[in-house]
Amino acid sequence: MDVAVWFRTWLHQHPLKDPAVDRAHYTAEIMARVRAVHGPAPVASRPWLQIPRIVFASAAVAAGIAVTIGTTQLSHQRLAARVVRDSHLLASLGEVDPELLAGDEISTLPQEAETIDTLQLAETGPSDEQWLKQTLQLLDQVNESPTEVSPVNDSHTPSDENWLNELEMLDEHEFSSSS
Amino acid sequence: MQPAALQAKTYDTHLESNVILPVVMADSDMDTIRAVLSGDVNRYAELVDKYQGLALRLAFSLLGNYEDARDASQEAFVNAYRSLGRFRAGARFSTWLYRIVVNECKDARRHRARQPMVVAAVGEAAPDDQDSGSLFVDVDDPAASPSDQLANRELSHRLSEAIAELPMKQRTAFVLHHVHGLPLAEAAEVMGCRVGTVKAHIFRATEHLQDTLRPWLAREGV
Repeated sequence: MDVAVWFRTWLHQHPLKDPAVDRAHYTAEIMARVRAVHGPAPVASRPWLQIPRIVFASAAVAAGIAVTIGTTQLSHQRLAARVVRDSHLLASLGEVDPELLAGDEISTLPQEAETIDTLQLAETGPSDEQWLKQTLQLLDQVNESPTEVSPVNDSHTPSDENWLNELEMLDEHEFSSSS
Repeated sequence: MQPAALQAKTYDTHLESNVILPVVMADSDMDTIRAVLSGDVNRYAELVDKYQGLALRLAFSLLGNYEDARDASQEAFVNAYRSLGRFRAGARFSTWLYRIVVNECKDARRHRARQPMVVAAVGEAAPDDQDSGSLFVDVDDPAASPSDQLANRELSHRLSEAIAELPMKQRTAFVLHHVHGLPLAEAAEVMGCRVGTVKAHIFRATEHLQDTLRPWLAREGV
């Protein structure tokens, strides 16, 4: 036999013992305590508790959204205030024209910053590698080759030799005059 | 003739019959509660009188002795009165009261645990009850031999002890479902958890009881 079934059968045959209490006395004891309960009487039934849970759930979601939006707006305001504060600091150091700070900065600066970011992003040119490639292509188109410049060049050009000779002669002249 | 307001079905216990009977509960409980809430405190006695057996039995089966059960159930009724304004109109008063009684029993056990000098006598019956040591009524089979009757009493005593040894949640789930006959869903509502959790508690409790009572169960052919 399954043990759960056995328990059920046994407990059905052997019910709990009867609580040996005087019912009237028991009730009287409780009612004496109930009447002695201080403070407000049991609060009146609140009809809003009977509103279906879906309403509470919707209200909770709406409250969550409101808090999120409020927090986001607050962070924008903090950002704008920080920008203005930094700008004032820069203006005091002479880095920014104070006239630029006149007006409704807090409300316009975030938008302006966003616009500037967008413009900078649009104006950002290709990388150096791309620029070099494009330049070489342009030079090819005009049939010119870029001058190879080597940082270390052992062969002296004629002009360099002349200049070195002049320098040696100058040194010899100075040496002879000093002696 | 039955009143038109008969709606909810619940379980009520009768002290005299010693049997848990499902009875149809009229909306009279709600009427009584409304009357109490509107200031007629004396009407609360109707609820106490109607449900005191239920509360006492549950507390007794969870705490194991009448003194603690009496205190816990009385405290539960007083707390239920204090919180009556929060009682939901569509709910069963019995389920709600069960929940309060369970919470009171938890508090009572915690309180008892903090008092090491007080020996918690498992299954300690009322002073006038000569047959102490068991939660359950000893039903002697006249056809059984004296040794079988003795073994049956021993089993009753040992089962009471084994139930008392269970962790509180397992004990509550087992007692609510198997001893008080609550459906799993209502037991879950009383315990404030899911039906699956109640099933798990009952399963573990049954396993523990099976291990503890193995010699007696073997004798019973289980």
